[in-house]
Amino acid sequence: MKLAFFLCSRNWRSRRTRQLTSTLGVALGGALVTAVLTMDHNTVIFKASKERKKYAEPDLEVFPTADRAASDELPKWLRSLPGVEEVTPVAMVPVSWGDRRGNTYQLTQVLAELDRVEAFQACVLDSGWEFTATGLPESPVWITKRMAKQAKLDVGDSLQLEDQHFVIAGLLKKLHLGFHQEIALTDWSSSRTPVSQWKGLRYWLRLDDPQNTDGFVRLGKAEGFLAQPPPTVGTTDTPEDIAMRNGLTICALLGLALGLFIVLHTLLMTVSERRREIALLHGLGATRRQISGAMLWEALVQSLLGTIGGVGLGLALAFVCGKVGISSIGAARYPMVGVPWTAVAVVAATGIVITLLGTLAPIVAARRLPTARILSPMGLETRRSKAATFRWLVPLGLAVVLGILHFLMNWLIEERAAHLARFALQLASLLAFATSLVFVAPGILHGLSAWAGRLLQRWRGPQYHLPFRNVSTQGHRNATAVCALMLVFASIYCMHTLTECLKDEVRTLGRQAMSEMVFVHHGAARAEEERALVREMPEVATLLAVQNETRHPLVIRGVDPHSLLDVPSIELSSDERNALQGLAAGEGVILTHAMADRLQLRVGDDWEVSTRHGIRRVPVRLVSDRFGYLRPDRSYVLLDGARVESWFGENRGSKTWSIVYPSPGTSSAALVEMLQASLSPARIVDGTTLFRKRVWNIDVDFLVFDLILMGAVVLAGLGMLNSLMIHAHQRRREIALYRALGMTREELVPMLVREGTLLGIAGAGLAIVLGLPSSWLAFDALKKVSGLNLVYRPSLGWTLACVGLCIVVARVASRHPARTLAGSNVAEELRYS
Amino acid sequence: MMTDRDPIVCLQDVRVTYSAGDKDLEVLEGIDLELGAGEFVSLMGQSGSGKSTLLNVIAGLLPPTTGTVTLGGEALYALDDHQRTLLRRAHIGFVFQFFNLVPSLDVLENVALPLWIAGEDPQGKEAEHRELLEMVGLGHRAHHHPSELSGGELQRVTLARALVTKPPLLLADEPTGNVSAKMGLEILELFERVHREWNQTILLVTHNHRDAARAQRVVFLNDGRIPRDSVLTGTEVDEARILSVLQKLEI
Repeated sequence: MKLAFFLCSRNWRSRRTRQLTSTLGVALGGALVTAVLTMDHNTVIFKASKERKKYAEPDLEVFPTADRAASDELPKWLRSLPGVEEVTPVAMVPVSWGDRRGNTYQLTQVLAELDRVEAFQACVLDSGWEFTATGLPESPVWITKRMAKQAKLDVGDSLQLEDQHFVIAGLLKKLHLGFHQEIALTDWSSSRTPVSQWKGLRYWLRLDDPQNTDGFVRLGKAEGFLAQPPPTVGTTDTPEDIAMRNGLTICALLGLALGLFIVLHTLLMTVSERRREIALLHGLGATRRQISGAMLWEALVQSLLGTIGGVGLGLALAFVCGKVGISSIGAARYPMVGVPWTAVAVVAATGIVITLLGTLAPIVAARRLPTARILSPMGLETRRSKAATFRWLVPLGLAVVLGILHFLMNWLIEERAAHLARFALQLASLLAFATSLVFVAPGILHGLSAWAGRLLQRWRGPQYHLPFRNVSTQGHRNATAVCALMLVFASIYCMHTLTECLKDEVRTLGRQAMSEMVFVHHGAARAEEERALVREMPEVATLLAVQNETRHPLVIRGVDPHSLLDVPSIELSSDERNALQGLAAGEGVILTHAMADRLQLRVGDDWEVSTRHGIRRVPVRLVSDRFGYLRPDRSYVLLDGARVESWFGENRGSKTWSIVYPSPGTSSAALVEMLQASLSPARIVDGTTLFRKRVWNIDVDFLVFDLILMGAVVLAGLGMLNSLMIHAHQRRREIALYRALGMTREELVPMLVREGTLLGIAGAGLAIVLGLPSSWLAFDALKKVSGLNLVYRPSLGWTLACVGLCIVVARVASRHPARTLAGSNVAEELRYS
Repeated sequence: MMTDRDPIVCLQDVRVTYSAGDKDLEVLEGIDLELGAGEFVSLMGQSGSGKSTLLNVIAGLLPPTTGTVTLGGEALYALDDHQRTLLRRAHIGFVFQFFNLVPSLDVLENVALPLWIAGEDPQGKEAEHRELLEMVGLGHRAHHHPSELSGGELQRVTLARALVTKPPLLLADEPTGNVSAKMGLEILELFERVHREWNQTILLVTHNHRDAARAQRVVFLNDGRIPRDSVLTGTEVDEARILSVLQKLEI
């Protein structure tokens, strides 16, 4: 034990750079995982708490059908149900209001029993009259403080909503009403429209047992209305959130794996570097167990220090991310309220255990070193046998066989059952392929450097011979650095391709023909009038009137199918054309892939929806994301606009925006100007601007992946630096010889950097060869898990960038060892054998 | 110690001091030495007497603490490291006790190594290199790797490598120290042949009085100094005289 401690501490002193770089590798990997876990933990807490706050606190929301909504019997009936403590009606109706300066405000008129508003925590009063105060003005209304500030309104001012006159009784500082941003809270009794016509009518229920909602949901279904818990987030992560969170965790775990790989690689190289020392210790009487113990201690110290440092750094990173607004589900500022200690501890313990298990290979290698041969003057010269030269054929053959088996799965097993087996085979095949690349790397390095050396020597002169010859003849030694680069950059390539596919999927939804579109937000009162005016314009080819209907968790989009068929710049497939014609002819819906996945429906299945006339079953005619330009969400149901009205009642808010296409010969910019002149003060946005804004938002959402990639690049640099430092140590004598034979420092450093460049090129090439199938496999897995309609598009630009980055990392990492070697004492290095 | 030929190397009052904890350790204490062009000089002394340090100083690898070293008429340590290296490249060939061959290169490539380092393309000179290998008796081993050669063969490759650039000065640090007596004899004969046929200046560091006796001049180094009356020249150089000087100096 004493010897183990002594050797371990001595190595820390004498080989500080290498020990530090490998410890830093673990720390960085651990930091990535800790940061992502903590970020995700706090994001989920924050989002859940925010969403819970966002909506009032009924235990159940009941949406009645139109015939029952008109009746006073429903609330009575609801109150009579056992387990129901309290029932109150609430209606949320989109309205618009224009101030004296011509600004239009879109807001939601909330009609509620004022004495129940506070009980359900729907909103919080800032100033003015209490909701239940005596002496309230006639027709009181409460508006948000923000709107009052913007519109320069105050308590006591009057407010005209549609054709009704109100007096502002107070200002609200907080809203807990879901996605409604601006509201006008009025008393239930102030409604002059029959209740049955209010589309946003629902009843809030408080139950004796808040957990017991399932029975009421079933009962509601049987009675023909929709009963569901209020929207909260913890239970309703969208597929894209799930995909992003899973993707982040995978990326972070890859980061940790890279860190651990650096430690293992360092330990393995250490054996190679120190074989003379190990043999000497053994020759002097140290047992194999003592030598193994020393190596174990070294690994333990590295992984422990790395893990502790990594956890600390990760927590700090998570804190900074929260402050600057990077979360695991996109751009959001979250407060640091907790650390998932169990998960972090499991990851840290796993890292340490893997490191210790990983030392087995170096330990076995150290135990097998032939002491007598190593201590001979010539040392241990490894000559590769022919069998060893071709051993890469075994894993490659295995990869091919597994690959073939994977394709045969389609015929051998039923599709769904084959999915998991196929994935396992793909993974095994990929691992076998990676192994074969590791084996073949020295050969590739040898061939590449010999060929490139000859070429460059002929082209640029003899100074290019030596570095290439060195790499060529020391291919086996350099292969470890190349493999390190290959694995790291294959992971980076894989991660980036994956995030690009995700980004691309999001962008594609908004890309279609958006550059030609103009989005018009109308004032509710003037929507029809303005649409008629726009349709008359000769510069307008088509106008799509889009209707919104939110039935949580459903987003229903109503549009005239004939208009969609007429959109000039979108080429529809025959399936899409048929589906739209079907929608126009009869009942039917089109689902986005995300929505189909969420509802677990396929083409031909029936979609069940609660309408004012009871439960309806509508066939799914198509699953497509091609109409994503209608809005940025990926989860929605598309149906004929006429049916939205008949099923869900007249929706005044739904008519507030349109998509306008210019006629041939008219530019969208000209159309924007024309519309602004005719429709002022309507809000008009051209499609290009809107698309750019969406893309920007997406890029901000994915910033966290870019940060992880940066971490991985630093890890790659550390791994390369570590490898090259070890090589430098091994080559001290050789380099000293070059110096003694007349090579200047100024010639030596470029030579070693050229060697590093060559390793970078080989590593980059192999990284792409491995990265392509890895990214496809990861992509396929993500597609299956998330249900997103991803398209695999490896980018040439990113491939070239990855190659360039790998070469730059290799060049930068080779500078320090090159300078160290150039500064070594030649006389000392050459003195002893 | 002066020479009657044009000096190729000239050391004047060369001192080398190492810092050893709180006190200084003087390894070379005022060495004056000249090596004439085409002269074969042996340097003898016990372990730790400063022989290797002196060799490194002459080679431009170790700056002396004080004193001047001239190589080919240039003050070696007035030059910067870059120029010094270029001067070494042009003037000095090295033969090391522990061979220092690059294990990954074959014999022919190891021989051509100084030319690659000098930025020359040795591919057109392969015949010359093979001739050199023939001279050292290794023509049949051109494409073998160092791990496949014996100690004596390795040392002969080292000699061929030292000669490939035809340097005016050959520094040999105990070239027979790691080979058998018979092989050592063969290597010494090669040195003599090189000196005779190529007229090279050779500085041979050795422990062996028989090896030293092949030189034209023998210089003894004792505790970092060259003692008075400890230089044998011309006809004085024979094994018996060398032994008597060694006894006198208690080496």
